Amino acid sequence: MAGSEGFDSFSRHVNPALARFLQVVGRDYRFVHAQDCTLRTSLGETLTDWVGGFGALSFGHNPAFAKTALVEALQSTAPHLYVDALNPYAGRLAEALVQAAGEPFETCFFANGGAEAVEAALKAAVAATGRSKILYAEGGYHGTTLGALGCMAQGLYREPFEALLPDGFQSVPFGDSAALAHALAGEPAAAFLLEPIQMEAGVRIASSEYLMDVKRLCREAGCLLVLDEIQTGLARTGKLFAFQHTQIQPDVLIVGKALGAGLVPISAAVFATGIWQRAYGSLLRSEIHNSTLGGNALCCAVGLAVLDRLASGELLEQVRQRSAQLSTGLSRVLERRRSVLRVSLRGLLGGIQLRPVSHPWATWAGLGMPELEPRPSSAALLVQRLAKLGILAHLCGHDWSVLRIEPPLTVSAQGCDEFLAALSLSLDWLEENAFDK
Amino acid sequence: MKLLVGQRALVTGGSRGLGRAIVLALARHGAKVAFTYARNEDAAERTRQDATALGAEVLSFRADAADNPATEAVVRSLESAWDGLDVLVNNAAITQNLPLALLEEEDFDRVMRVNVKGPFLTSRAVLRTMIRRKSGVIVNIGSLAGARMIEAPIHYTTSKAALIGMTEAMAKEVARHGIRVVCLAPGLLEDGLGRNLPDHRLADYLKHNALGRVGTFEEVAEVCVLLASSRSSYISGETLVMDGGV
Amino acid sequence: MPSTSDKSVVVFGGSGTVGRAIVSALAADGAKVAFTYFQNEPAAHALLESAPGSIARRVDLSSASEATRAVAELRAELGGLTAFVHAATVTSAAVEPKFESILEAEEAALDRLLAVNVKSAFFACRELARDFAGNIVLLGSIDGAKSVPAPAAYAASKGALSALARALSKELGPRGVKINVVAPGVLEAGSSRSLPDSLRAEYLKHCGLRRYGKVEEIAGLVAWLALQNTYITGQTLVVDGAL
Repeated sequence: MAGSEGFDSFSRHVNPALARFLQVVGRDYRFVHAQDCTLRTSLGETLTDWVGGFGALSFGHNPAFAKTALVEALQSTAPHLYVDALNPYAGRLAEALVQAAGEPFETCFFANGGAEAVEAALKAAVAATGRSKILYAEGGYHGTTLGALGCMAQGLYREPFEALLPDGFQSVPFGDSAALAHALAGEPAAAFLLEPIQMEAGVRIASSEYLMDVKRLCREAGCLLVLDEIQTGLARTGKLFAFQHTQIQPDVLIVGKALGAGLVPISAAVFATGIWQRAYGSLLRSEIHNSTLGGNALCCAVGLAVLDRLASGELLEQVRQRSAQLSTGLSRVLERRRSVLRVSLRGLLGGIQLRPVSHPWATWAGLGMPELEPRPSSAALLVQRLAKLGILAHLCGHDWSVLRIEPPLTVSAQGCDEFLAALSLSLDWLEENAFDK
Repeated sequence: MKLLVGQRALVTGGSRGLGRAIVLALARHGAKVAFTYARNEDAAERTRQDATALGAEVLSFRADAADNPATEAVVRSLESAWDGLDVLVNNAAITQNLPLALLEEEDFDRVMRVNVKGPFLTSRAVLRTMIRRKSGVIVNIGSLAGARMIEAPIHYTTSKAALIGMTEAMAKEVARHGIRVVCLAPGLLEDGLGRNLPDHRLADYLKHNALGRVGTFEEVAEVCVLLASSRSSYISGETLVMDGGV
Repeated sequence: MPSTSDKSVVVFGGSGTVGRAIVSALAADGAKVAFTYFQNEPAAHALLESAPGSIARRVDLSSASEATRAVAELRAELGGLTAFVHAATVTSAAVEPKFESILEAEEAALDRLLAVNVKSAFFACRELARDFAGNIVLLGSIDGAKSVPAPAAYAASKGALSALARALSKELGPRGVKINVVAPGVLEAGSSRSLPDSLRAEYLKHCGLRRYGKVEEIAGLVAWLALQNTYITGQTLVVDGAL
């Protein structure tokens, strides 16, 4: 099915503007083969994947272990869908998840995508607390469906739909516990939603101190702490879940992306003891939030394989080693560079923030795309240079000055070295061509 | 009206896009058509079949037009199969949308190699046999970008402007053998190399286009046929711009 | 050859050497033609016989009003109009027609030259601008398109046609009008008769194909531009065998 028709059909029938942009910048690759960290195009070019499906490809492309589990489940003649019935697959995965997440988690709701799980969590918080206000940290990215969009950072993704967004959602500045305290002192809130690392905002990391304050404030206010670990979860930051770097646990943990190994759509909202009971414990309420395909056998089989793969701790150790290697390497490559403002890295999730370009021919207007002004062009140029050297990279959605670092967790030591070498050459080019001396 | 009955034609880059439209138009006008293509076997097969369905004898060759030995081999095959060629259409070309900041030496070289050196090498190989027979026509597919000042990638524009000079000098030199060389310079076309224009640039182009639309491959192919036919027997060295009135 | 098609063309100067070939070519391509003549009535009659179904009318194209009326009336007589061709030409601004130097040009003769070569084309286009979509082809010359020795008045009048075509392509394009100039080099017959022998020799020497053009080679192109052209507009197509 790798005929050119599908690619051209995408340009016509799916996303013409994206297709046009990719063509304009010469990155309209026709990927026909992918294995682990390597992609191959129809023209035989190979690229190394440092986008990692925005976190979904933690186990690389076409991971054998997950495909095996999927094929095995597929061949089973047991039902694959259990609507309004006891679902053994969902049951086993829920058990594995609550065990992996640890105390005090008890109940899981399975959905088909991250935004769905976020919305499930928020609805459950409302149903459990009887309150109708949702607080969220400004600058986040929890999904683009209308409910999750209510918690989206200000800007491009949110603006056209502002009038439709739910009334009861209120933002508080990320990292500011005083502001949260102030907000909680007003009308009682059902939940406070945030990510431990706001990736799209340019890799903004919540400190342990902040998270501890947040936990305390929420507990005191009877407000549920909902932690969106769709990007940070499942070994990405060097622990199974990012909250495990701190001493606190959220009331609701959201997991997605890599849970499906990049093969199948599956997400989960994992609830601490009692919350699901309070929300939907009565018979009449037991099915009022549901998903027909959530918890289906094939997706749960992959989820189970994923958790099983992570259970030994071997991959986690690998993540820590690669992270240390990258950290050292980044310090070396980025040292004393006038183009770089800062670098952040937690496990294999991070970003490099660049200064704005100073050469007129390197701005969006100078590059012939004035409609993109006044956004930064620096990270986009870095992405372009890396592509020339065979590295597929991307920038942060809300902050175009930051190059994201999010490779498959299976990236090799050699792969990291190659990335660092390409990064160095690319920054050399940038500093020669886009920055003043 | 069939303008090329019995003529033998070669089109470079004939498997897709404008090249394919030219192949089909030549077939419709009664010519035997050969074409080269770089790598897309599926597209080449489809074009072969469609041209054959129009009643033409069709030959195709996988060859990089800027590869001298490969081109020579194609021309030799056609000498042998058809006893020569009457029409050459140098169509194979590439472009890249690169602003100056990102336009590097390797990009410049690549575009010049395919867009200029390719037509030169192919023309020379074909002319060797056309001159012996004292007849033939070469149509170089240029671009409005190389003929008038419009916004377009620098290396692409340079390569298309080069074709104009090549057309004139070659026309002068081979006219004594009765051979014509012309350049056809289309403006923006539906689905053409320029299709990756940002919206505002396309809107501007249409605003300043007298007929208010981009051209179609078929329209260019018909003019290509006209230039190759005996109706154009006194046209040589000329560049014909077809742009809808930019 | 009987013409039973729905394509109809008005040709100014159909009795001239090039004009005659154009009328024949249009008829051969299936069009019904109405053409004007002024002095050469025998040529007009001969043309009517060789292209049955065509219409001839005597028109003094040095009169803007006659030119305008001719377009309107011939169009009505044809029952519609697909294309208009202007092939009428006065070659000299000297009292006695010749390949004149500027010093030999006289105002009255110049006025007549400009009236026939440019004004009649201008007013024909003006008449068509009211309500016409189709092709317009004007006959120019290398004298007005390239750097060659030429009588200034004739060259200027032919150059004017190129600018006229360019400007009108813009103005009338939105209504579906395409307008182009065909600029021949020296032909075997026609106005090149007045060319001095020395210039003829130079032309042959520098013309790539080493020969004059045939009127048929011009006529076939004009017919295509009149009847088949869908996208070329505002252009001057030089037909000179690689001069």
